[in-house]
Amino acid sequence: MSAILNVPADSINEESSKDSIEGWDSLKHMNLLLALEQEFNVTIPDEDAANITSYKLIKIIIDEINNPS
Amino acid sequence: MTDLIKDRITELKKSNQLADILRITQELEFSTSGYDQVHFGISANITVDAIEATLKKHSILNKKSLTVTMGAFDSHLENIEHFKTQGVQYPIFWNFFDALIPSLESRATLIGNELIQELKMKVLDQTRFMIEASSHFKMTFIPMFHRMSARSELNHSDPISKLVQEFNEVLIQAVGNHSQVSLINTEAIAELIGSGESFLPRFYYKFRAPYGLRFLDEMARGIFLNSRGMSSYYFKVLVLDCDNTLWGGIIGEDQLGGIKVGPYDYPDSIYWTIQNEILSLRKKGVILALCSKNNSQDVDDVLKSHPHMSIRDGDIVLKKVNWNDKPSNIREIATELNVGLDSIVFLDDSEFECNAVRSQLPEVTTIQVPKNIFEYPKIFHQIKELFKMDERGHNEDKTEQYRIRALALQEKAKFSNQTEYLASLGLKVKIRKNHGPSIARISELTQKSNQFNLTTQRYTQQEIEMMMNSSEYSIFSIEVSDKFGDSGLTGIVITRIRSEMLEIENFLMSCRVIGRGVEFAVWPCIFEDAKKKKAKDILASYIKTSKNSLVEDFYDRLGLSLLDATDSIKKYSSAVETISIPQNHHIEVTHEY
Repeated sequence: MSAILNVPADSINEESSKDSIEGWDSLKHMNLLLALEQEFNVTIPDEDAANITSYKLIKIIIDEINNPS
Repeated sequence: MTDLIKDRITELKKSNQLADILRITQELEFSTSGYDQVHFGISANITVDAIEATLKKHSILNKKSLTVTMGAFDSHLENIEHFKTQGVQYPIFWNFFDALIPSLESRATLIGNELIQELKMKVLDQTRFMIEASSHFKMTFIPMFHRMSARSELNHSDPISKLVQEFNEVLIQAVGNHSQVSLINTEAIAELIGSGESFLPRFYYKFRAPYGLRFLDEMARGIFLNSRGMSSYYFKVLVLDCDNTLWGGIIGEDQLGGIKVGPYDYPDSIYWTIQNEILSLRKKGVILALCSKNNSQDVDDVLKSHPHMSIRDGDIVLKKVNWNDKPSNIREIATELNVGLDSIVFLDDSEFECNAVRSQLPEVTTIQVPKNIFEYPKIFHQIKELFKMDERGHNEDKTEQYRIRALALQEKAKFSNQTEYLASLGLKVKIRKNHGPSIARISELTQKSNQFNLTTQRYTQQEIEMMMNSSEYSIFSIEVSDKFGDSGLTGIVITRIRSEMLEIENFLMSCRVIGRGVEFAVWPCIFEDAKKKKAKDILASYIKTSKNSLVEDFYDRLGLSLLDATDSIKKYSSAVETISIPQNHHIEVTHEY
């Protein structure tokens, strides 16, 4: 997240989101989506892709994909 | 370079994921401060912003510091103007075939011929503007067209491929042999990577971003290769070992019948293939030299008599077949061919020899023949990439010219002193002024000459043409020949006259012809011309670079008086009447103007 969004790693925490990180634009959003898919080896479906807007949501979405209930 | 940075660079070389590339390039940012700047401008009809990351990667690998200006989406013509004002040096004008009009590939057979012709005209017009503007930039890159969808039929009449090919023809014809525009073969990249990783249809339809990162990585690599690392390297000479490099086995032990090279058996066929690859390089203008610890007669016998050698004596410009150490031999090769050590690639199978050259001559690019001989063609591919040349240029007959030089050097030993030798050469110099047909060669020479180059000003073809047409400038081109052959256009003097003051804006010569007095012999003609133009004073300067110390005191030797000197620049001035040029008696100088 830190590399893609171009912010220091230690500035990213549970509360980080599209609102708190400057420069989280649509382009970075796309790159983040791609990077997350590569890193966690998952495909994030379109309906979730629009929602990866904060650290917490990213965690929830990836957990859900890996452990479908 | 610290180990930490070395490790990071090794990691960077291997990285092919966006997050890794971004992370490592950010970490390396601090170490790039001393690198030369390269400024790219990106203009595309699709989203390719991620190429900034891969350009950054390859900038660092080529020791450059990157700046990128992103142009507006699908507006090449506005971007040209924008790039000019932003100081962009290397614009990339990128049209994605399928996006020329929405979903062009799916409509290839649906839209009429008329629309296709219109599209072609649009592409042609755009390309013409890019070419016209290219004189404002150091090099303009145009990725060619390629298809994104997989072929549905495996036959040759596929309509999409055919259409893509037609559009590429338009690009090729428009660009012609324009030396400052580089077309990039994107089909080759897609082929190398495979369409699965090259294209991301999901991101294309959603964000107009069709390319996978590996494609953009390869594209950035290709851009640096096509421009020889943004003109930071230029390899000219391939120095080859013999045993286990040109052929399998050791000639001194296995004898003529025992060494392995030939079209059929294994591993003979590998060495034979490599020899053919080497010959293709020679055909492109690469100079071949041998550096082998052997009895020279043995190697000569192989070159002359082995039935399956592709390489023969006539292909080799210089042979250092002796028992001296290889670094000394390579140093001699550099001196005798008059090339810098940094333009030499050395290929040898021995780890010992490779390490000796690496440690003593780090400027030489040393490549070792792999232990697993079946990997040899793969390793040789790297060498081919290093010798990437502008094949439209002047390179083909270089072997002949360097052979002539090498022959002249052997002749040297027969005379007791240099003057005697020079007198025997029958040197002829022809000077032309503002010679239109030579514009391309003049521009090429200003781009390539480093060592004998007083101010290292580079000029584009358009600039040369403009100067030829102006009344202030004169461009003198110098053609040199002697009894061994014709060296062609190998020197340039550019002068500018303003209010009775003649400024020598640049003087440069190809290293192939220096050291024969030509550099002095041309000046009477030029000063004569200055007098005709009513010039009273001559002004000249030497601007220091890392490569031109050879001519540091050239104007002193020419007899001009030093006006002012700093570490980086020396300025000279003299009254035309007072200059006395060293006499030459052995060169016949003629001029045509």
